[in-house]
Amino acid sequence: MNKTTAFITLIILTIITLPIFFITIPVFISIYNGLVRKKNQVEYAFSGVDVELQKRGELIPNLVESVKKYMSFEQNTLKEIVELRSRITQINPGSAERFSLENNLTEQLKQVMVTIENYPDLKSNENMLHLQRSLNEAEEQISAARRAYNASVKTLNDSIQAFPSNLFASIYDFTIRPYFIAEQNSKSAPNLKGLFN
Amino acid sequence: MDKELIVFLNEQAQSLEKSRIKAVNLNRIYSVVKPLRKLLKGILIVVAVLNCIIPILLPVTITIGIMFLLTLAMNDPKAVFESNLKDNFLPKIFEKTKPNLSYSSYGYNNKILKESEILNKGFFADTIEIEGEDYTKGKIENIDVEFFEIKFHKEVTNYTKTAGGCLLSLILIPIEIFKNIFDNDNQPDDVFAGVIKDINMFYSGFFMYADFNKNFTGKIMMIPKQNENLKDKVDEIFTPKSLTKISVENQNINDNYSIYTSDVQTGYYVLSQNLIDRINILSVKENALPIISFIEGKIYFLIPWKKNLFKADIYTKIENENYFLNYIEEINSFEEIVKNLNIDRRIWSKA
Repeated sequence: MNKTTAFITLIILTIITLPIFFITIPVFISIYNGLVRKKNQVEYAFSGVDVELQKRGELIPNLVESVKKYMSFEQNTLKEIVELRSRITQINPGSAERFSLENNLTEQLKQVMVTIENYPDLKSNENMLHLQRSLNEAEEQISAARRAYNASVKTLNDSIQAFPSNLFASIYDFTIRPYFIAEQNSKSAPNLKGLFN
Repeated sequence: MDKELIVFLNEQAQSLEKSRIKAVNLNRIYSVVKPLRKLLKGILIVVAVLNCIIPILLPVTITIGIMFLLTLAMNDPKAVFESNLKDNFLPKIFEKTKPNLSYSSYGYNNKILKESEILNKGFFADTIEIEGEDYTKGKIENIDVEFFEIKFHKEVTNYTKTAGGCLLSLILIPIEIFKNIFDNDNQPDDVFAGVIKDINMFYSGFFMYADFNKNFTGKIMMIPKQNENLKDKVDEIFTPKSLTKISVENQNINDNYSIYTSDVQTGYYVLSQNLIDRINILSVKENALPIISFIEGKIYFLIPWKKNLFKADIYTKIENENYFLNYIEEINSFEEIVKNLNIDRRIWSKA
């Protein structure tokens, strides 16, 4: 619904309900405030995702240090992980490119975790075990943050599209937000070929 | 089953069989005593009422009262047999098959029940009595667990008895008035007239507590919508909102549950899609909706069921160790619940 149509519809509604303005005015205020709260909730949830991604980023130097002595054949993968992390810290945190790089990083980390199975000494290393658990925890928290973000986006989008809150959404420029969806490459399973050689 | 266990169970079977034969013989006598007890109770009530009008019936009332009390001295042999199995045999079986778990026939952990905050819900607000049995405690795969069967009781007005009592009062009041006219002691006698309440069981279930496989602070409550009453809905509107309502990706769970959490992200962290699916499968399998709370790294799980764990039948002959197979299966089912919910999967920061 465009802004003008929404404005006209709202005026008509106000005129029709004028005799009971003492009910309609608080309702209108409540609708507007509800939209504001939902928008803020989306932004808060988004920052939650950002925090968890940062926490994961902090684990990477430790991971690279632990594995590079053992995984001399996987140096390219490790180098790519370090480069990805470096690029992520330099770009705009809210940009689409950042999330694409984070997804790429997730894939690389998954591949490293699978490859570690080929190195029994590394697999049983105390520090490595602790690191694996921490990474699993970080991934789980990222997933939870994304789900929380998607839930808050759904609530906001429902309000933006449903009547009568869509009138206020159009007038005050509340826009539909996109969901977090998995990228195509992240939907594929990790490469396990190396495990069976 | 290994040889040592078979030998042990055989010994237990022989001992329990002797107990069973004794219970069968006593049950023959009890089948006479039980109806006699009911008959004497009825006669006692009638004679006691008549005694108010005809005081010379007092010796008769006392005699019938004594006879009635004597019949109360005999307990139900079936219950005694089951009690004997649970008190004397099951703990030893637990020791042999699951040394990490300890068992006692009666009891429950009130502290854990309170911590679960399940009793705070309006559905359980009228509870005046809690009865627990088959209390099992210990470790499964190094995870602290506790299980028990639990029954909640509340006071319910018995309208039949109340009507009967009022009718009796209608008969007794004029008699008392008439009696007081000719009575010189000036002491008014009491005639009971009021609501009669019974204590009835309104919820019977199985409770489990376990150390959850993730570290978290705060709480998440999964309440079946059928267990939410008006008090909870009013509380939700008028009390400060410390809990936020969330929805999950499983529509069946959303249709059947109201899910509340102290922090949205923590809620989704604890309620992973995998766990939600497992809860859904378990509720479909048991045809019941469990009430689940997750508080400060622990899980509390209460599922309604009418089964009686470790039930004993005095008419089933105990020939050998096979008699105990059902009980061992029931003991193993405790582990199954932990595995079904994947609580034994420890791949995150909590070891």
